[in-house]
Amino acid sequence: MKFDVSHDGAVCIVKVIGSIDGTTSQELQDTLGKLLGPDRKNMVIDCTELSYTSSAGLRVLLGGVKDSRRMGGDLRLAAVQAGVRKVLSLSGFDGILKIYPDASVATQSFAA
Amino acid sequence: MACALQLSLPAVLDNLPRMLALVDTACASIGVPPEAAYDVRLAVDEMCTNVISHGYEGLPTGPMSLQLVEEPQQLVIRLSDRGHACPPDVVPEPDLAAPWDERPIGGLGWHLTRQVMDSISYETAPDGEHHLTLVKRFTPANGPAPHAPNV
Repeated sequence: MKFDVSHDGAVCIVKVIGSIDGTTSQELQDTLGKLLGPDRKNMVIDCTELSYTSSAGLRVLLGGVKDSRRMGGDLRLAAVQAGVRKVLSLSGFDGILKIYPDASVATQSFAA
Repeated sequence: MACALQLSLPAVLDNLPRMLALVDTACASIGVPPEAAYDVRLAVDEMCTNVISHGYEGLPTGPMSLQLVEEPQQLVIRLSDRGHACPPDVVPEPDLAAPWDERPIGGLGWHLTRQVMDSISYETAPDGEHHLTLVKRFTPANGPAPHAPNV
């Protein structure tokens, strides 16, 4: 699993590339933990190249959502692929997380 | 000849990728379509992680064994271990309607497995080994399964 981190104004965009499972989820959690903070509380997870997640990935995303919202921000998803989308839906996470078709639209949603 | 693969490794997190690689190999070999292959990978991931995280709690780490057997238009997955028994009926369903700040972190492994598998059964053999059997039905991606008889 790899990350590409970029910033668009006050929004941090993290492109996750590869798979999130029990062996890689801690790395994702550590990365989000370092990036989220009171001065950087809005985040987009770009899932264009995220091919797979298990519940381990959902745990990390939920943790990120909770941390960012408690700081007055949010963590939103972009470009979620079919397999990952199904896992989000089966878990009821599509009712918790805001999901957008691409990172640009997700980033702009924070300005709304 | 139908595909049958097996792997037995110590139940530690470092061995999870090899278990998942076996699943990927089996699904590619059989021609399981992408959505069903994701479902199988997910279920094996979740159930292996359960054994790794909780199966041998308080015990010396033992083995987890994965067997994948191709049958006509279905894949039979058997995960075995010698740790604590964990039959599926003792695991409660999560509250999927809880708001974000009340959703607990975790507890989704069994729920996802139930959702994506066509059948689940669990037994403990007389020798104490536990066997979780999962079945995933599928239509092969490229027409009839290679072993289908000519009619």
